[in-house]
Amino acid sequence: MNMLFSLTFALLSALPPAQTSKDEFVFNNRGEPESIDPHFATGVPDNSVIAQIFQGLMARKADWATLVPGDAESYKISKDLKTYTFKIRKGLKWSDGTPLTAKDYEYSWLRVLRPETLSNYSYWLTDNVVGALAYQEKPTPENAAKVGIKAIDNETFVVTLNKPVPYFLHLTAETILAPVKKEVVEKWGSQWTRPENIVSNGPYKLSSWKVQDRIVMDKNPLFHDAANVKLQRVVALPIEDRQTGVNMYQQGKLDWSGHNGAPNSLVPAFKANPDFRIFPGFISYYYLFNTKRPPLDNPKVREAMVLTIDRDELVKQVTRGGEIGYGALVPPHTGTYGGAQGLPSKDFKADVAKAKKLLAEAGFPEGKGFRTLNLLYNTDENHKKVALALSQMWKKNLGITVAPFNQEWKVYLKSQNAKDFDLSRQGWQGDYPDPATFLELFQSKSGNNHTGWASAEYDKKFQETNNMPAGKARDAKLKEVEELLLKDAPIAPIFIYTNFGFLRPEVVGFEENSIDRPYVRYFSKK
Amino acid sequence: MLKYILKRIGGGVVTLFIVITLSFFMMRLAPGGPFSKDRAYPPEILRNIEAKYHLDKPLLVQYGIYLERVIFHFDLGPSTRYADRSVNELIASGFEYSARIGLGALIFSVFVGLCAGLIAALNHNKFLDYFPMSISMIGVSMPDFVLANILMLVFALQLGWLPVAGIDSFSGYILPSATLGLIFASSIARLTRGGMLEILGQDFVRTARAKGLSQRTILWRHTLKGGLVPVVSYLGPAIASMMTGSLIVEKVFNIPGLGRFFVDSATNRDYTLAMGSVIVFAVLIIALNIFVDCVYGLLDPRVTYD
Repeated sequence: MNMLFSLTFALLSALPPAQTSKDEFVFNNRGEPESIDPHFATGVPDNSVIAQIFQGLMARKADWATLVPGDAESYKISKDLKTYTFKIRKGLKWSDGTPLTAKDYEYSWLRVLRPETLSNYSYWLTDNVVGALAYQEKPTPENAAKVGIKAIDNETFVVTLNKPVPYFLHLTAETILAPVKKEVVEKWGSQWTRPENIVSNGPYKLSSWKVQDRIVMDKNPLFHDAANVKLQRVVALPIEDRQTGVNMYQQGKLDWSGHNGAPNSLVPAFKANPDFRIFPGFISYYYLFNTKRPPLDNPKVREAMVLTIDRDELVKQVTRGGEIGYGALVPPHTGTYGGAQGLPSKDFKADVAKAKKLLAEAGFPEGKGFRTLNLLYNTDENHKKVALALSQMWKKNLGITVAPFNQEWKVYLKSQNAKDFDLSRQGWQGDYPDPATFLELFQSKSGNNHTGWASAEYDKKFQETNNMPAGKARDAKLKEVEELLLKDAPIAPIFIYTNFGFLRPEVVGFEENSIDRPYVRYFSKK
Repeated sequence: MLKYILKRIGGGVVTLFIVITLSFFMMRLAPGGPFSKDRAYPPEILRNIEAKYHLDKPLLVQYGIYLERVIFHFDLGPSTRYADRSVNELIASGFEYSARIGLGALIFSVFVGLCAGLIAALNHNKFLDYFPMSISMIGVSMPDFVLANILMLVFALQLGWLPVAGIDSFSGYILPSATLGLIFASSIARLTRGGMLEILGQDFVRTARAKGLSQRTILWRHTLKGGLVPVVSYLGPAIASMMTGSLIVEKVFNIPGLGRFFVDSATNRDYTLAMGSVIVFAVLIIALNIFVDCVYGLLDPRVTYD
């Protein structure tokens, strides 16, 4: 199959590429959005579209990590870091020409909380905003009045938090907290996101949506910064097949082929092409240990297994998609974080020697008496390669047997939730550029912590970081938290994914952002 | 004949009911549900979602609600995955493209398959028999994703005659229709050859030859109808397969057809979309089989409808 890809690429390289139109940006959105209701949607294809047609209080630069004022022209944070007062821009308009005010934000954020909205991310508010959880549990007008989400007047929106949340501004820039227009949502119900009904506030507005074919968004002339939006049109194509993405790019039908646009094994060959871009992603790939099952209940066993993964070898020889072998959970390029010190050192041989000693101390010298462990992964060729490679590494370095087995996605999720595994693969994409988006997973009560590992100290220290202002001191504290997790090793970090694809050279303003979400309002074409 | 058709339609309705019932309960037996995700829903939200889709009710009640909606309102329900869409809408949108490609594939496969099969049968055990049959063997055994990529390489990338993917224009339909059509053409060619060889060996053909009739007359007037009976019986389910789309062809050529929904809905546990796809497929199979059985009588005088 790879030969076929190579042949295709060789042929493609010889073709003079046709061009997409000069005033449009066409990108591979990787799949069909499940929903473009900002309060309900969760998927990557969903958010890549929502980010073009909606905007929150804060907005993002093309690099995704940098915040700029959005619908709020300014904000003030109280001394206790718990009250945020946003000044909404004067004269803001919805795409239908009606005024957009602080009251729209009050309605929208309360809508996120209401149970019928079915928002998976409502916990961003219930965890952090005064009275939000009570309102979600009992959405009465009395409880609504007690929620710390208030439009004081048309231009002043005040949010009262129950604790300082140092990354709160980042949340206000994410799609989940974008405003929606009450009259439209209430008039059209679940059909309000149709092109003929939707009203939005972003740099583009939805013009047409042909399921599984394309989503077309045209410039919104009423966007507050429309003067600086250069491209007139954005087109999102739901291409799932990797080779098709490359082919369409080379035939001039795409400006950005996106992550699906190249098979991993050809990344080394593609690197020679000047249009090819590869950059670190915001997804961490790791294995979970079921810490409730012997012998994995012994931290020494887990540590020994973490130490005997040759990550560099794995990414060079096995995964080959430019992944970054990494011994910690939080990607080091997360904001100002810089990364924690994981268990593995730079000297793999020394790590193996240490691991052997640890395993012997745990009662399994050279792996003797160690039962066969199962390793669960969801059916996928790349996950299989990683599982087989790691099993071999553990066999070779520790003398233990790990037997990988695969399950179809939904069955795998069920097994993982039921903790029906010894080891299990997991990948996690961060939602906002702060280490908390990864570290919150392993709190004792997190619904996403499938390891059985619970540490009161971890929970306490993690919560303390939420009470600190962003900065060096908090970064240091976050490292402490992560290192606590890594030391106890309920997970074996393996690598950080990369994003890659082909970008048309005429595109100006594109920035390699770690979640591979294009912010087309900043793009232009030469 | 009318009595026969009515009887078959009655049987078809019963079959459809059984298919719906079995599919409904088999879908629910599969582990995991539409809302099990790697990012777990908060329990109270999950409860609300399940209530919205009636998943909190006993299975038999859910089945009753589903049947009532389908039978009395022709409503296949809301998709659990594509929250902004109804299943009726998704299927209508996908079927439009799949049917167009399927129609192209049907014309292509019948034309190529019949020609190849007839040439092979009329040149039994000669080069013109071996050659098309060898090609058709390759067609039968070649996976569709390989065939799709080869056609794309040659006609879109090397020759530059056709678009690699997408259906912006008529030319966008050619490669997917040809890919799908070639797969079926191979089987049609082999069935045509087999059917024709059987008929050509019959006594009445020998008699016709002895009477001095020309090869053309024997072929068109006396043998073609009977030789095509196996092809016609194959075409019933084949047309249904072509019309409901192919996952691989649709993914490779980025076609917004029904085939993707059919497979993806099962893996996503999108119960309503999966059930809708099954119903569409079952209705087509049943209708086309009834049609094919009626056509038999026109082709083969030995068939009666008593």
